[in-house]
Amino acid sequence: MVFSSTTFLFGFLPAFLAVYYAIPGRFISIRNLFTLIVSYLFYSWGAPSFVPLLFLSTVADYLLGLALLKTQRKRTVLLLSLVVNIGLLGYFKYMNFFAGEVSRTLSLFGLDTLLWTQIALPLGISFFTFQKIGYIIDVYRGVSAPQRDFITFALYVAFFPKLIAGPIVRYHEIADQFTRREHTLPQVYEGLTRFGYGLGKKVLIADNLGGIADKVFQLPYTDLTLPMAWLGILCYTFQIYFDFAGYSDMAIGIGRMIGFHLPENFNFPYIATGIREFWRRWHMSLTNWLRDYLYIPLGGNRASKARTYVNLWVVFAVTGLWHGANWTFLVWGMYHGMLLTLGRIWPAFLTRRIPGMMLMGGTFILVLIGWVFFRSNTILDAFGYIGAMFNLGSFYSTQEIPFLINSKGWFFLAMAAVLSFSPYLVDRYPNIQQAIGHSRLISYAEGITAIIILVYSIITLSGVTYSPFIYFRF
Amino acid sequence: MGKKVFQVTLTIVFLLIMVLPVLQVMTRMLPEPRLSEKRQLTSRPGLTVSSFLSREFQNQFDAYMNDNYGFRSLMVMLNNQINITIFRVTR
Repeated sequence: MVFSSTTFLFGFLPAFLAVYYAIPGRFISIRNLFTLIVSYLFYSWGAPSFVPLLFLSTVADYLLGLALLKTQRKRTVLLLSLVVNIGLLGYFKYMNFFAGEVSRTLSLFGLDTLLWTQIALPLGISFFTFQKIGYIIDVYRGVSAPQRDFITFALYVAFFPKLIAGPIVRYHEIADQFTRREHTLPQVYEGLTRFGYGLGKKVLIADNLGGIADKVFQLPYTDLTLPMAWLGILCYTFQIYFDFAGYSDMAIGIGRMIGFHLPENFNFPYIATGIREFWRRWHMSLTNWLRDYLYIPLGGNRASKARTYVNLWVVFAVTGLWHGANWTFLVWGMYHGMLLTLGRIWPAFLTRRIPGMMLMGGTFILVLIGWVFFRSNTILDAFGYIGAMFNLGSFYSTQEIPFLINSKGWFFLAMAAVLSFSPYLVDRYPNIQQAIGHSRLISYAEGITAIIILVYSIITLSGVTYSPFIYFRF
Repeated sequence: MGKKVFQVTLTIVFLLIMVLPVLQVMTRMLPEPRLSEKRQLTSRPGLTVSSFLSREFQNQFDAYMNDNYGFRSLMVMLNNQINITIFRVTR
């Protein structure tokens, strides 16, 4: 189920909240059980055939977690869990790709290709698998005690706000909240406003700009002029941020409505003044997960410099492939790995005198170029697209632009830019931050703006499904 | 207005926005403008185990909600009006 669907907005969410709050607060375990049932319903709405997979793999890690408590052979149990989880992820997410590549290589040598039936990707598998791995490692390391209550553990894995697209919650971040969390009016209010803003980011900005990016990326790169290519990737750069940050806001907001504090996922990534800072602000729950459960076990930056670079590249290759089984994602990950490595060997005095705003602009352009790989279907397309972005001969060829973007598109593009970059000022000038933080008027304005955004998002959603008379278009 | 009163009021407004469309379908308490659409609106699907497992029910139910939630016609008209008056576009 999609948060921005009418089924969710007008049916699922209000019904869930009504029943949840009808259960008296002292029965928190019943509230948890109800949330678990609802989470499985939520999952089965999108992927009914994978409910057994979600359930059985949850049972497996629940039992392995308990086994860690009793056995002396902790390492074996840990390995078993890693094999099961990585095995499932590998099978469902990467086998199609792997079989396709093997077949392609075989056919290059004139051999018969593999007989392979495509397998469907279980919804959210990358997210819930990482969370289960994190849990087992937490228990193995003694950071958390294993969860004895199956309902609680199953809820940790399947909690519907973050089940399909995160934030990826590390077990130790949330463990206490299952038994002790506050249900207060300010939290419900905060959750609802957060949800409103998230819906607006998704429906108003991401969807509008996504339409423009799609039009540009559908064209063969040989047809692209420099202005078209920049418009397309600029729209995509904002689309991917507002889409994902919007989803995260909605997830965090729903969590807050029932007393949960899910971790933040984005902290204004496009105001970063370097790639390292970008990764501290972008998809933070994934970055934190990879740091805790991959980068540090590999040795992090405590060994030699060369080893640190290798570790960085491994982490970013995994980051790339985690997004999907395609060379484009791997190259995107390696591109960021390369930028981070360069950032570490880059002499600091070279950038010290450059104003922060310029560093922010430069970082933004580097990230934007990375998104070309992420969005393109093949590596060849990506390089062709980047070629078009720097084809100075077509600098003035703007005649196609009005066909790609109308005044509404320009409005939301400008809006996206203001919302992405203006936090730089708040971030760098604590006075502004203080003034905003303490102003009651601003907090009122925030609430009312959230309502306006919610209503306008609902109005916009109606346009997606409405099919008017054909003659209306002429 | 005190902070608490403000929060209570807005929370109620938020929840009403989410609840009213379904209440309207159930009760038709307020009059709605009629749209003339060049297609049949989706009707409510019947639930069977096999239609649920194949996701047919879910897809049809989503389509049914999109076509039939309360105040939809008002939302569609407002959307067109905003597009034409503010953005000067047709969609």
